[in-house]
Amino acid sequence: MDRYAEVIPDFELFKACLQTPQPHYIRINTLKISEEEAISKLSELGFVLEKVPYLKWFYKVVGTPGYSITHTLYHWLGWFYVQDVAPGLVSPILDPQRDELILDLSAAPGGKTTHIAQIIENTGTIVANEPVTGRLRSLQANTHRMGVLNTIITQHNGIMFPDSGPFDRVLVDVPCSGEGRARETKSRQKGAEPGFIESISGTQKGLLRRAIQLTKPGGIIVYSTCTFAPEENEAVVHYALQNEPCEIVPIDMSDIPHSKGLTRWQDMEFDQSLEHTVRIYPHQLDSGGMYIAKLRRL
Amino acid sequence: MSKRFRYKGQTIKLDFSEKWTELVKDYFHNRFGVDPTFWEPYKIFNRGDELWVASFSLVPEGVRIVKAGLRLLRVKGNPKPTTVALQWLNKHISKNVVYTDIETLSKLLNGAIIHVSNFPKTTTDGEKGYVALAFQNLIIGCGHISSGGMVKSQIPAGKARELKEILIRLSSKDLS
Repeated sequence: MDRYAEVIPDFELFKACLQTPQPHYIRINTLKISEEEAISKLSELGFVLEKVPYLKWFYKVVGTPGYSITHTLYHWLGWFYVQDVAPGLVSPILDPQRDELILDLSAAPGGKTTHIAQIIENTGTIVANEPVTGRLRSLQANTHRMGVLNTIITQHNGIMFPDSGPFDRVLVDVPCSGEGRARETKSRQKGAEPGFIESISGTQKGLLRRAIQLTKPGGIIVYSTCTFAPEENEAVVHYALQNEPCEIVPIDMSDIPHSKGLTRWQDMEFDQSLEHTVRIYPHQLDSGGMYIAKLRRL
Repeated sequence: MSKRFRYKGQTIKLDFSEKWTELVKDYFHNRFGVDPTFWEPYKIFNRGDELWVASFSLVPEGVRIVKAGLRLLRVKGNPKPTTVALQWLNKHISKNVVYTDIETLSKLLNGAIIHVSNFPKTTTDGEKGYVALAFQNLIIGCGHISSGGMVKSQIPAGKARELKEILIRLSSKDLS
């Protein structure tokens, strides 16, 4: 991680934060239960929940009765989804609207898909795609558990997703080196292997290009990763800006601590508009890490 | 209306015929007291031997569909509701509910068959067929009552295992 010392603000705080356990956050599922009733029942069990001020339906678990909130009847019934606030920002930034046709290109295990369904209140159509057979099971289980009815699950290699739609909005939350999950998995704390970053960035470029091609002119694409590596973030979006008809849409995060996207990294120069993309570091939101870019298809 | 899709060399047919909607309305009204107007916002379709409910507004062409919506009923032989459908219907179910407590639910999940009179409360007249199992006044899944009034859990094994672990935690809390 030391290679990020010059770009991550308060780098010592960042490193110290990685040594602390990541808190649990939950998103109350209003497709199944009212926020008030869910909070009331969980409080009766002894869970202490603190509302996240900048993210609708999200609560931080600040106290437990001695067992995990996932081991409750209410989790089993789909009243809430355990979701970190950093990935929890992605679906609101996509800003899905009722009755739209939406594609989630790499959907498993379904946190963002079920979040989108909740935002548009089970209207419209979400195509939730997952190429990996083993991961389809978790996607299906979570959409069922959360009472999601507007979703069609498909299995395609995202880079070769068939001509379909065109879609009003496409979420492309790509496979990545996962450095932003270093608080959950100690082995990630040393940072990703350069060879892996290089190989995965090719896949990421292909997925983002296909996402743009599947979006209708004027439609919105959100690209996200849970890593800090600029080669998987700004470099991928810069590549898409050069090769597909699209532009950056600034993300309004004025009330939420975050950092701007990079416009240069080592010997690479990126499009200036990439400063309107978003980096979230764990010490800023007491969360995992995330990179989010919002684009418009031209 | 029906639509056909190619998937792994097989044709998948989603049959949106009105007869399936009528079947669902009648079945859930007669057996569980669900108001037939409840289904108005939803699409019902047949896929194989199962009826599914969904709210999507269109089915895109050209994609391999693995799953769409929520599985409601198995219609091969006597209709059988799914656990996930009964959970979803929850407060809309007004009859043929068997209310369990920790003791009776634990036994059911361990495979026991229990006479209906041994549950804390029921809204069934004992007529043979599928029932909704409730715990803490929430519908948790599907059960079956035989002509002799014996109740058996129909909650799938994986979900039952998860629920048993939750009950063990609740039991130990009650004892502490």
